[in-house]
Amino acid sequence: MDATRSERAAVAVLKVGVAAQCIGAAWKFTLTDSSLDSFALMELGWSAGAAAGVDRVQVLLLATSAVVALTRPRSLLLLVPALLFAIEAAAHGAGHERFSDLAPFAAAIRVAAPIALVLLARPTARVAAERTLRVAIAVAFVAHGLEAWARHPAFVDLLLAFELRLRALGLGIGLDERAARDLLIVIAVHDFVLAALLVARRWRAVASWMAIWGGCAALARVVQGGGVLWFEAALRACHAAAPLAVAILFARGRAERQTPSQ
Amino acid sequence: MSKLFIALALLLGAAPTVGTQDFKDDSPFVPLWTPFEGTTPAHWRVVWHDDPCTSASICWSTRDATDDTRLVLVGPRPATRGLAPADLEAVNLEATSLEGARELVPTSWAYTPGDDEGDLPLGYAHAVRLTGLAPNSRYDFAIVSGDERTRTLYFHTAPSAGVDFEVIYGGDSRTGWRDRCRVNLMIAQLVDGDAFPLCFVHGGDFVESGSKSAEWLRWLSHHELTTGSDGRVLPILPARGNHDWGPCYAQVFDHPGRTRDGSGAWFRTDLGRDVSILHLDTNVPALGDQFEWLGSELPRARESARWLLVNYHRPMFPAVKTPAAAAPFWVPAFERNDVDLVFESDGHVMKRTVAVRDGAPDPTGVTYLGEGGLGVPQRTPNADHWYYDGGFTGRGHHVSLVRFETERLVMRFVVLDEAASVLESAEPLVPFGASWRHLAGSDPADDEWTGAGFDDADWPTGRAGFGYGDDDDATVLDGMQGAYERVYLRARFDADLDALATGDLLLGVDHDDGFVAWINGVEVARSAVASGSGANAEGVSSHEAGTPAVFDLSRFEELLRPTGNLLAVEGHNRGANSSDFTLHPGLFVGRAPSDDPTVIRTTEQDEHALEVRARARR
Repeated sequence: MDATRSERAAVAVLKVGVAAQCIGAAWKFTLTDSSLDSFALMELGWSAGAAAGVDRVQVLLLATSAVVALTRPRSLLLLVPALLFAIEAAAHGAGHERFSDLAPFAAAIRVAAPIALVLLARPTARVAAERTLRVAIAVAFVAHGLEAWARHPAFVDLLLAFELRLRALGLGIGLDERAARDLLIVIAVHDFVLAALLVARRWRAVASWMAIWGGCAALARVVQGGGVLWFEAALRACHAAAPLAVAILFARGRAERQTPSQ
Repeated sequence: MSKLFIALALLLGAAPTVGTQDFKDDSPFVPLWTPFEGTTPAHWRVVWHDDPCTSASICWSTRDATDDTRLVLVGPRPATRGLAPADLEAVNLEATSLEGARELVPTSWAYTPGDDEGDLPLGYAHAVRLTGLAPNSRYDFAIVSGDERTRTLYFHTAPSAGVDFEVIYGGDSRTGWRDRCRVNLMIAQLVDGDAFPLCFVHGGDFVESGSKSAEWLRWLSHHELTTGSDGRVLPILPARGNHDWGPCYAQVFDHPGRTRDGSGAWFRTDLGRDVSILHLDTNVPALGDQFEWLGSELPRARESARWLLVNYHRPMFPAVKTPAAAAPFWVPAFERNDVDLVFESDGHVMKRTVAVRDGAPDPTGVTYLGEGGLGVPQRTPNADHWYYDGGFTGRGHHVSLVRFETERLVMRFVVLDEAASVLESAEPLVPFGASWRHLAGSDPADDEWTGAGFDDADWPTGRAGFGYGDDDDATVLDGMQGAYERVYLRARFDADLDALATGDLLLGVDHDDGFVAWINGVEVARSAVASGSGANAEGVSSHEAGTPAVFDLSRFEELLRPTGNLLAVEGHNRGANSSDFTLHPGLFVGRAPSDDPTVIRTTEQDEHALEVRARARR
């Protein structure tokens, strides 16, 4: 794939991913209070009406951002969803729950993807775009790896839900809670290794596998909770789209090395 | 980018301009609980786990470590439920001496300090696990520590059979210390009252950050306020919420469920033969060992209990959030086993679903009650969910009272009277959503417009609330933004002067930004307008709408006549280009809110009954 085609392909993938995550988040905030809303209500003592107003603004901005991502991926307006996801991640991090501290890092891809999209559209910033994505993906994988290492109950349940769905089809593999907890250690190591490799090496296979893994993890929410939780998968669309974009950009790099210089 | 974050932080910090709640100030209540210092015994609580007929944990705390603390216990005595006040007083007096008491040495441990609390514990827990108790009996006790002793306290064990008792249920104490204390005082009133609740089922989220022992210690001080005036202690049945992580939960409640091995705080409680409650832990995997236990325990409990309940934190049928991820698996298990009632928390609202089965309303289904109001700031429920059509939603600090009878289970909300909620039970003279004559875009020629004699025939009529920008206005003032800043409203009403003799005249106004109100030409209230009126108003400041402010107009009741009264309200926007405006007034006769936060008034809402179906399975 030549450099221009690969960048266009990466932009196309990221456009869809960013739009999907904006739509997923916007829909979610129509159903439930965002972390920012909760932070305003619980920590700052805002009235319920004022705190809810924050979410109304977020929904509007995110819905608009989805359109911008699809139609104007160069636009600096895409820094707005990046900022919103960053603030949401920070508010989640202040949430006083067991894994709140890791939440901002786990959201790194959601923050970085819109930024990378804007950078990719600018010829002089393409290397920065790739690095931004690689670092963000690595950070997110490390954060999720740490959650897996600590046997996050939600992760245990994602594995067990898969088992229960298989059992309902007569295809159960006998995964119980103890085995799921053990499996999470393997997954944690897997995440750490992938993160390190992605940062250290420009290996397409690694990025491609991370895209597949990210997509499966996003869809796992739907497997567990049913189709009504589609927005949770959409919110995580860039967990697949971002590594896929990186894999495509890695192909660009290889193409550049193979193209004889003029 | 960093400057933007700082600017946003400042903006978020400018909370006073958007209506802060003074919700972390518990100073008015400090004199009501035992000072937590030295080896003074404090924080008493009775905790029930699986068999409250014959066992209980009596727990307490001391600030400093001590091995010179013990429980002094007398009992069993006959239950004192239903005794006439004079007889109860006599029993209490006799119990004070604790004659014939046995002394029991507790097991003690330190409350584990959180990561940022240093290495030294901030307090020590002591617990005596009592077994071999007599069902349906009273036990009097005191806690001695060195030379200090608590007052004489007592609790009742659960009856071994039969129904005809009530339990209190609530969740989400969490933040909101002021309101948590008020709700606890409300619980104490219920303990003292005729209902005679048997125990207090808590749905979790006791504190904000479960790893901080200081938060638990504060919660424990607040929990003392639930003690009845005669020393009656309501046993507590805990469930763990998502904020209750860390070791302190188990240390506070003497290791409920399987918390000793760290695998989860789930357990079954039998309130005698006829009522079983399964407490689940939504803080640990929901689909592993706990689900297996649920699968085997539910049918066993259903087989033996007349009433089967489940208690956990994260809701399956939420009023605010999205359903818990376990919903596709737990809900069918509840339905297969005909669970009668499920307690859910986490949403910070009031809710009762219709009976649900297979994703649809079904009178044979399961009812879900919740959703957390023990102090946490309340949210606004989404009443549009199908499972609330025929059910109930609301907001306010509350508990649920659930009464078990032979053929019926009756539940109702007991809601703390707060500035806004006083209006919900008040009689309207001019209700919210009433029709008003209104003038927008110009000012009246003079002040005559505030009086009953003014001719407003050429003012159009519109339904309150008036405004723009918030999506909350029945009459949208389309041309207001960027054009003008004032709106004038007039509503005529009649007044039952006899009702006013026993109630208070209350003005409720949901407003953004300011307003001035008159009754029959006399100014009676203003907010966010410093002085003057109409075009001469000065000092209009910001005020966020969302919750109606309540004004006690008792001193203006003499202005009223039986007929032909006039309520006039002018609303002011802080600037013509403001993003929104709201003016929604109402006039009521009710009970004025008290300025003293320790004065507790309550209302009851949504009494609802379930019919027994256990016999159909036998």
